Amino acid sequence: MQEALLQEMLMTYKEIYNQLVSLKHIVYSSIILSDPTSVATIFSKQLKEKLNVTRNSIWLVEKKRKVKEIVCDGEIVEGKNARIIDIESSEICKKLVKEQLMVWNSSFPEQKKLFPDFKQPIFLPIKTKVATIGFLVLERDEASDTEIYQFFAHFASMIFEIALLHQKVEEQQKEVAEMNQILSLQNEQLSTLYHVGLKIIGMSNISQVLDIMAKTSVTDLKAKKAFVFILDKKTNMLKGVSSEGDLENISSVVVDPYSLPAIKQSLESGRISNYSDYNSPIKLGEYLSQNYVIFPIRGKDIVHGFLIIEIEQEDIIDSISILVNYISMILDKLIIQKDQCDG
Amino acid sequence: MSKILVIDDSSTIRKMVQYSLQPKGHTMVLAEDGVDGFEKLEEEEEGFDVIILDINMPRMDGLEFLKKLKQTPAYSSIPVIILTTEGQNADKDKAFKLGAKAYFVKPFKPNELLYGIEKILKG
Repeated sequence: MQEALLQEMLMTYKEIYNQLVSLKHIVYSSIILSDPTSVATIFSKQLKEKLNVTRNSIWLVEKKRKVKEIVCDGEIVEGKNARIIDIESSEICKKLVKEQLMVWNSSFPEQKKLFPDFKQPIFLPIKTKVATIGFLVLERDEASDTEIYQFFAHFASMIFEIALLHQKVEEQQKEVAEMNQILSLQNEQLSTLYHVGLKIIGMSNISQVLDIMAKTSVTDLKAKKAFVFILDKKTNMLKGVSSEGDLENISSVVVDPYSLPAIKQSLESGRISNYSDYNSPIKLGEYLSQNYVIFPIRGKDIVHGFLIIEIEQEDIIDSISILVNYISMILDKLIIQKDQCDG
Repeated sequence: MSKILVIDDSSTIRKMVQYSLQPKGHTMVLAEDGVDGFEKLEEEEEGFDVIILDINMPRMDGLEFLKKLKQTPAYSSIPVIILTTEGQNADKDKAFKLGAKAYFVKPFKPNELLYGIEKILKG
């Protein structure tokens, strides 16, 4: 009799010890894990290995009022195997997520259809102060103590809440770092535009202004190459005037703007056109320009010419566009002055 | 708060707009050109309250997008704010004729954009 009692006490002690080991393991793991999927996996593994749970799965609330199975018996459920349930379509899910209440297997007939792998499950909400994050589904034997599972569900809620906060902080840190990078890039570009403005405001030589536009596009605004062409009003042909990159003999290059669809479109619409709209290179003299962007140098009434750049990154188009707009205004003024002198 | 669709081929501008408006409680969805913009419109069942639209973009530019948007009854009532480097009056006129509600020239001040959005949302 005494031996039987000792055996029972030993079993109880072992059970409690396992539960403590399990909790300790989860606490230690949760310190270094910040994503909910990893936390769910650790949790599910512990439920399987250390507690008397024959089967378990963890579901988390997704966007658009859905819940998704994340982990089953310690294994991540991936791709098409991850089942998704519309919360509104299921009484069990509504009870768990909206009312934050525990659900017993016998309560709802839909249980067999939605959770066919579980014979006698209990469903426990994982809830924080503000919302339900998800729920645990546990297959237990009749004799096991429900209280301990409830305790584990509360514990899961805390761990998940911490993981979600970690995740949020990491996302915010990433956003701040990205924002800093963007601001420093924009600051650099604005500083370039400001200094170019100062440099050319008093200039009277049109060629010098166009040289600065080509040079600034490459050296400061990170275009790969830049070519400037001016429209000859008499011949309606484009004449090369400035180059940064290849095309050293640009002054001898003459291009018919109507023979190249990308330039023709830009000339007629007065807007930027680029390689991805045409998917073919343009021929500038002997040179084939790939991955180009064409900026019309637009005066008040006419297009004076074009800046054609080659790019490696899309994000420089806006700043070069601002530069071209500014130079266009200066050019307008210089051309009027030149015409007055010539006239 | 509002759901805003940002259509711009520059990832820097998309992020700038997102980081300027998201902290004010707006939900942001980002698209990289007009074609992508229409895909996002179709994906989003609940619809958008405002669209912020660039003009110079590959595949489908902003003005083409705006024209198509206004011809599509399901989306024609969504107000559109233009955010572009094109500061010439001719471009502004075109955009307003096509139904744009406001026009901002880059580089933009985040507060001005936010004020513009709030003004449009208040009707």
